[in-house]
Amino acid sequence: MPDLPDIVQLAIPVYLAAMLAEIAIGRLRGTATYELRDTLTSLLMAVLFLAVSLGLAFFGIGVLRAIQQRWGLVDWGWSVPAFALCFVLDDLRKYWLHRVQHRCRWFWAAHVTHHSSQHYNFSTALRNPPTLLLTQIFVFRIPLALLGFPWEMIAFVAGLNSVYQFFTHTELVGRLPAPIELVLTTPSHHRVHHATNPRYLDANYAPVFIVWDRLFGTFVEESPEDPVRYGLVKNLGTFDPVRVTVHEWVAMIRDVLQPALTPAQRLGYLFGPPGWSHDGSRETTEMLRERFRNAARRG
Amino acid sequence: MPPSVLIPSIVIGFVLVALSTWWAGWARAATVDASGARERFAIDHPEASVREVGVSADGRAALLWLDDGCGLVFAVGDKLATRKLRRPRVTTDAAGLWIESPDFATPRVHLAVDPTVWMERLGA
Repeated sequence: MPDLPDIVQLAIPVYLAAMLAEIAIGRLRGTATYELRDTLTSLLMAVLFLAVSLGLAFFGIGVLRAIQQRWGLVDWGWSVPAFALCFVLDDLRKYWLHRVQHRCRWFWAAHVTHHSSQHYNFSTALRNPPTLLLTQIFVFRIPLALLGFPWEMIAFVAGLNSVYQFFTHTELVGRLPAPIELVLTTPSHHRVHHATNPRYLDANYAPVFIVWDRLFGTFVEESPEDPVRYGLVKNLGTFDPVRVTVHEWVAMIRDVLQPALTPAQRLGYLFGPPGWSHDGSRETTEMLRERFRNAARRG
Repeated sequence: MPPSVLIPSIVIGFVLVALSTWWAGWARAATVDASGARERFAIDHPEASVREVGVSADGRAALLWLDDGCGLVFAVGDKLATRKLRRPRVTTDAAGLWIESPDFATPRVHLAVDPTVWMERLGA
């Protein structure tokens, strides 16, 4: 086995330099790309996420190793094509995981933290939910272990994927040349993903290869006629890191514990799409789009 | 990278980012006037019909009287957020009103206004 570096650790100085450069460029251009409390919240989330991840990673690694050793279908070796295939399949896995994170409230309750900033900059990329591992998303890596990819390779390509994603979180880069925009996820594509404008909701999930969105019908182009507004449909009214982290969990538990619900309705609040309610009093993405379409028609 | 290098690097880097943001002057709260509050509220609630707007003296929040209740536009850092108010608890202090809601993500919002006059306007 080759001695694989921890890509994310190596990228940390680059992340810091990129944030400082983004601030300096914003200052020169006279546009406020960062806000102090928003940035502090994102950085604190990054630290908490790192601490929780390090603490729980051993469990996930143990499971993946055991699965690959017992049931792994193919011995891929450590060739470059094996790494490349693992990278592509891992990106496809992340596309579906990300889609589930937006369409199932259990997963959204953790992922919402990443979308909670009304700013869009490199610090937003680090605003990762410390509760992510509560949702046991490492199970989404099991197919790769079953295919026979060793956990070291899975972790390595996932690290590369994370580093790539970091650089899509910026407003400094406009549209890139068409061939790149066609195949790779660019800052423009990911700005759409972080938008609250109704036409942009639940789109552009792919971390690296935007072809997944084009293929599975979730691609939306950024339009200059509809400038992106970042954050949540219902933006948070606080920077309190505890509330930012757990607000959706609290709301979900409150919903589930409402009196006089059927078991199916309780499950709906846990695993239905965000905005689902048993009495139709709230809005899913589809209902929200419909409301905005109707309001636009009325003018 | 050993933790003895990694952890201090992260701490120093994050402090530098925070100081740069502060130095850039990006720590001011957003302010809003009546028309700005209407516009911002309409983005999130295009169907709402706003009858009247009252703006906090510091411009950091505005209360909107709608056909079907009340709405709120308030500063969150240098951005704004909105809420339709359902069952808000309104309390007062010398500096104005506190609007508290059961919403865990928005515990309470301060309006720098004359509490006596505004409590009357709210019908509280």
